[in-house]
Amino acid sequence: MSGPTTTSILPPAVQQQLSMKLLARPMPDLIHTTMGYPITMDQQAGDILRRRRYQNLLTAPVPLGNGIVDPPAQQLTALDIDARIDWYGTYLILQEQVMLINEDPVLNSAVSTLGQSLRETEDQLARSMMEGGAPPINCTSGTNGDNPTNISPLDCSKAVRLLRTANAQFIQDIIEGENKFGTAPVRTAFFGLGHTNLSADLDQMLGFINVANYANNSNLLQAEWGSVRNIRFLLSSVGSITPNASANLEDVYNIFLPGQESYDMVDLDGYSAQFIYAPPEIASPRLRLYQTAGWKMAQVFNITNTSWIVNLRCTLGVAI
Amino acid sequence: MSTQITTGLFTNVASTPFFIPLSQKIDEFRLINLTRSGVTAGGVAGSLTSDRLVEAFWSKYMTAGTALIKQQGTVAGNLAPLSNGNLAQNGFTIFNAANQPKGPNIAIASFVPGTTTVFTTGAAHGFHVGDNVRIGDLTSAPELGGLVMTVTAVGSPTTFTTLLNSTNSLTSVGVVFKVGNANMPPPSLYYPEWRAIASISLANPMVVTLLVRQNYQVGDVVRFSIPSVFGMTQLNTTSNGLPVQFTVSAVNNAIGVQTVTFENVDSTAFTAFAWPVAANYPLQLPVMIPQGEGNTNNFVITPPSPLPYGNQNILGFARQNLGQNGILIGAGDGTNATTTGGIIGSTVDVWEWRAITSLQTFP
Repeated sequence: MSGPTTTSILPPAVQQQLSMKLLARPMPDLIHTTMGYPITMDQQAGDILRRRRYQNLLTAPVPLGNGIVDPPAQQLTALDIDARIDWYGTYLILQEQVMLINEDPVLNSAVSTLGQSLRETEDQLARSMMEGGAPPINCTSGTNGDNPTNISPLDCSKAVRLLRTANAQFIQDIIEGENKFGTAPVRTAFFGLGHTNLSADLDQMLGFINVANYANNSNLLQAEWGSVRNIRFLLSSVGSITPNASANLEDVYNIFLPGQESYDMVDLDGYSAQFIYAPPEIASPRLRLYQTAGWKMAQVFNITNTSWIVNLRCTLGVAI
Repeated sequence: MSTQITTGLFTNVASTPFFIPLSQKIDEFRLINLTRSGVTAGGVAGSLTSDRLVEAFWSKYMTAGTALIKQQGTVAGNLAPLSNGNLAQNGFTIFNAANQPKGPNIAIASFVPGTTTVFTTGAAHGFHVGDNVRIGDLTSAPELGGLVMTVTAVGSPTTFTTLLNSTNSLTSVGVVFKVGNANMPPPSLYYPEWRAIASISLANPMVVTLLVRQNYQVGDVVRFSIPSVFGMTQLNTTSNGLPVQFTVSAVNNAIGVQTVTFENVDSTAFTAFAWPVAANYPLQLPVMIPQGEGNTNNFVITPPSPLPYGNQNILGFARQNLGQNGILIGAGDGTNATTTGGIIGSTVDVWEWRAITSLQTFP
């Protein structure tokens, strides 16, 4: 045989190499747990955590006068807020042969995906709790003709007015103006937790300030998109949508505006997040055919003051 | 890791779908109607019955909502022959509380405005009493669009009733679809939820009727948000920053009633509550918002509890996740009829079931 030796004559014995640099997975910004007030429930103390709020007393603006008769006493009253924890978990069963013949360390990826699953579950639980429990306000000042309408600056102001009149406290301090081109001060603010599909509508709003135009962006959250009036918006692909729920049966976007201490994130002492790994000798003692890995947690989210959180409902003005 | 078999016995409510909560993966599900097979069990006397479904089977390879069924023929003595076939509707459906798909859109041909509302659909709607449905695209009554309400009666395959007070609205075409069922875990998982108000009485004590049933309990504390176009703004929290709260003194959670009573509230002098006319569109919803648990010893009519503690055992508004996975057994006329057929019929029967989780599936 004569002639050049090409790859047709001598192909590589193995044509592929698996890159050990694994591809990135989609990881949504988990925005719904960020404002929760963490509180831990003791073990062996039942499964319901009760919290109590005393009601304010009336003021006493009238002078006592110069008599010796006592004015009437007031009574202390209280409201009890309860939450029942539940257990959550999921797991993987990994056959031994999978571990032995795959080029990449599968168990490492298993652990990583399980951790993400746990945090996404937490976020979903917080979101679900707010969907059912946060008092709704429809946007009505938009122009798309639906009910609720698309979001407008006036709707933002109305929602903030409601919260502030209920004495809900802002989450974020003011960002003072600075002598930088193209920047603006940002008001004290509640965070608005919404879906990324709202980004185009926010961009269109009069007075919207993108985070790039904040006078100081040293303390931004990754999901922050910008601010309007007294709301700074955190957007995520796992933001809340109620499908086909408007008057015109379009999707309704729920923007949660929690004030300080408006909702609890309750876990059980020692049980907030457990990673559970069973090696083959435990999971499959006879022939060690498989191992298991999973997570488990005990948790509940609870709105502790419905006057301090609202669900600003809107539809899209800028179609997808 | 092993094959899991779960078994049980239940008694159905006549003409009502039945939900069995199961956390396991369901590869196969088998169901036997003991009562209609002539077997006495579960406290119900057996009654061998002609032309009834007595066995149903579902596997993960089958279409949701269907069932492989066995139906009895004419009873002769103490035996009945069995026929085999496929039930196309009202069979088995795997239920995931966190992922509840909406039902198909069904055209609303018209509705009769009134203190309760009877809707007429252009095609068979397939709803059952207790289903929660959403209405929308109501061209002549946009103010009602997007509302969710519980079906309180099914007059015919193309009519159904809800507690919506549509007196001030014009009849309209539109669209309706199912979003859940009052007897099933809610799509948003968590209880309690805010509820849209159907009506409020001018009475002492005040009675509030809700569009969607929620299981309230005496001692629960709520507040109200009533937009001014609905009237009765006296229930709203004022502008002084302090919530105005009300304690539930009586409840009727039955579907079709869905009332909550507040004996400490005399609403006789309040502005009447009414759903607004279309000119007020777009609008806010009138809602009742759960707050927490209060003291039942401060009621003006109900005598205090023997103990001085009025709220120790009130946990009705404890926030909790009601989500469950499982299997939903459909209801119809208990036969394999083309449109009205369904596994559960109009009788109260005892059923034995078996759910199987396979160790491994081949190929």
